[in-house]
Amino acid sequence: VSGTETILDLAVVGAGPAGLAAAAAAGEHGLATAVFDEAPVAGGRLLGQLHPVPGGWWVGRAEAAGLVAAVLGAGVYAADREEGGFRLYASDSPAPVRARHLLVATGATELPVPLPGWNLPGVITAGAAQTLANVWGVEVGRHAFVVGLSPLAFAVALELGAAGVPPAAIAPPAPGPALAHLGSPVAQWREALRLARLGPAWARPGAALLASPALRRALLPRLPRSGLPLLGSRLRLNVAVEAVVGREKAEGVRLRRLDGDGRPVGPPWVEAADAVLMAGGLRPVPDLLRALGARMTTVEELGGEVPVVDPDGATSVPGLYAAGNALGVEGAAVAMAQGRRAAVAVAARLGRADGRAQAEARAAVERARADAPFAFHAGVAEGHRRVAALWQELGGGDGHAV
Amino acid sequence: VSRIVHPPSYPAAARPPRARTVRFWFDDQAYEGMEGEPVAAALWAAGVRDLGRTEATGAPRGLYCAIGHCFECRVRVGDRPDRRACLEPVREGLRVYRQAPPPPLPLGDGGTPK
Repeated sequence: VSGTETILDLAVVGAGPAGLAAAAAAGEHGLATAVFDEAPVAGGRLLGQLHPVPGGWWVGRAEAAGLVAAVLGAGVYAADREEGGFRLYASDSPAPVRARHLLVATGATELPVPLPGWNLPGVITAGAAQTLANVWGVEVGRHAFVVGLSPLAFAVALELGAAGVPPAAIAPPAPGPALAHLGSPVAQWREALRLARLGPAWARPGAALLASPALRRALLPRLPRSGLPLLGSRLRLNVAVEAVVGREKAEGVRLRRLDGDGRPVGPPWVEAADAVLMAGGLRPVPDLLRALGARMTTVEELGGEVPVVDPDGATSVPGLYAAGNALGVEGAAVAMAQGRRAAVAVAARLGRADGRAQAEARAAVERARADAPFAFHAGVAEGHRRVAALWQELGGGDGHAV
Repeated sequence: VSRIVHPPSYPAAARPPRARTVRFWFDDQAYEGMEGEPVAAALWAAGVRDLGRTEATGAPRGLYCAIGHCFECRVRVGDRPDRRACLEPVREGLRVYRQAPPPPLPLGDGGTPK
C-alpha cells in the first residue's frame, strides 16, 4: 500500500480463510486490493486447522499457502466512512489507507470459561492450544485438561492426538452463574452428543442411550470416573471442573462428580494438570462492523451478534461487506466461499464480473455449508435464513458505494 | 524444552515450516526459539508461563488467547511497551522484559481497587 493517492477498490481486514480467499478472487477480477492483519503471518485460524477427510487430511496450512500475499503486522485500529468509501488507520502507517469497498473478515473469538483460577498462567483457550501445537509445533502439556464440550474441544483433542500429544482429559465445567452462556451440563452433553456421529464406535450408541433422561440418570453415575477413551484422551462426562488450582500457575483442576441431571454431587478432589484448555465455543467478532454503523442483530444459531446482510454479505452501510465467521460461526470452507462471494459482488459492482459469476459464488457458499462435516451451532442454515428475512424486512441497505 | 516430535502418520503439509534456532532474552535469561515464531510460543516451549503481573492485584498473568484478542500477554520488547508476546516474532538477540506494573491511578471513591 503506497501513499494516500492510491484508492483501493477493496480493502480486506483479516488474513484468515475468508479474507485471503476474497483477496485471491478480487485479484482474479483485476481489483486493486490489500489485506490487513495484525498478525505477522498470513492465514489466521486456517494455519492451525487440520482434520481427516476420506483418503487423507484436510490441512489449513496448505490451503493458506496458495492464497495471495497480505499486508501483515498492520492491525487496523480504526476506520471511518468518507464520500464514496472508507479510510483505514493501520498500526505503523502514518497516513490512512483509502478504499471504495471494505470487507470485514475479522473472524470469531472464543467464549470464556470463567471458573475460579481461569486467569492463572497456564490456562489458555482451546484455540490457543491449536496455535501453539498445530501452528508452531509447541507441546501444550504432558497432562493437559480440556474444559468444555464445544466442537472446539473435540477438534483440539483430535489435532493434538494426531500430533502424538493428546490432552489427558475432556470434561465439562461445573455449572455456575458466570457460565450461564455455556449452558447447563445437560445442554453441554447434548452438544457433545450432536458430534457423536464423528466419534469412535461406542459414541453413537452411547449418544442414543444418553439422549433419554431416565437412561442418563441410570447410566452416567455408573460410568468410570476416569471417563471413556476418545482420540487418545479420556472423555469424562460425569465429572465437572469446578476450579483451576495453582499458586503462580495452573497446577491442577478441582473436580466434582455430576449426577444424571448434571448437578455436582459429593466432595471435590484435585487432579494434576500442567495446562488447562478452555473450550467455551466461539462467537463472531462484530466490532468493526458495528463501529462503522452497520445494522446488527443477534442470532443464537450463528453464535451471537452479526450484521444484517444481503445474499452477498453486503451490510446496510454502502460498500461495507462481511464474510467468514463475522457472519456466523462455521468452518473454514464456508468462510472461504463467503470471502469469494463478497469479492465477486464487489467486482460485479465495478463491472468486472457478470451475474453468472455472482450466482455461482453464492451457490458455492450453500454447497460448502451442505458439505460441512458438522455445524458449530445446530441450525446455522436457519440462522442465515433469519438474517436474510431481516434484510428484506428492513428494506435492505441504503444503496451501494460507487 | 517441549517441541512436538510428530509421528510419521502426521500429515507432512501440516508440519510447521523449518526455521533456524535463534537466541533471545526474557528479563535477564537467555532462551532459544525458532526464528519468526511468537515470543509467547518460544517461552511456552521453554516452560515459562508467567509473562507479567496484572495492574489490579499484582497476580501473575500469561498467554491466554494466542491471537492478539485478550492483551493478557503484554510485555516490553526493547523500549516498546505493551507488545503482545503472542504476536511478536522471535529474532536473534531480541530483548523482552516483564513489565513493571504502572503505579495505581489516583482515583477517588469507586475507583481502582489497589
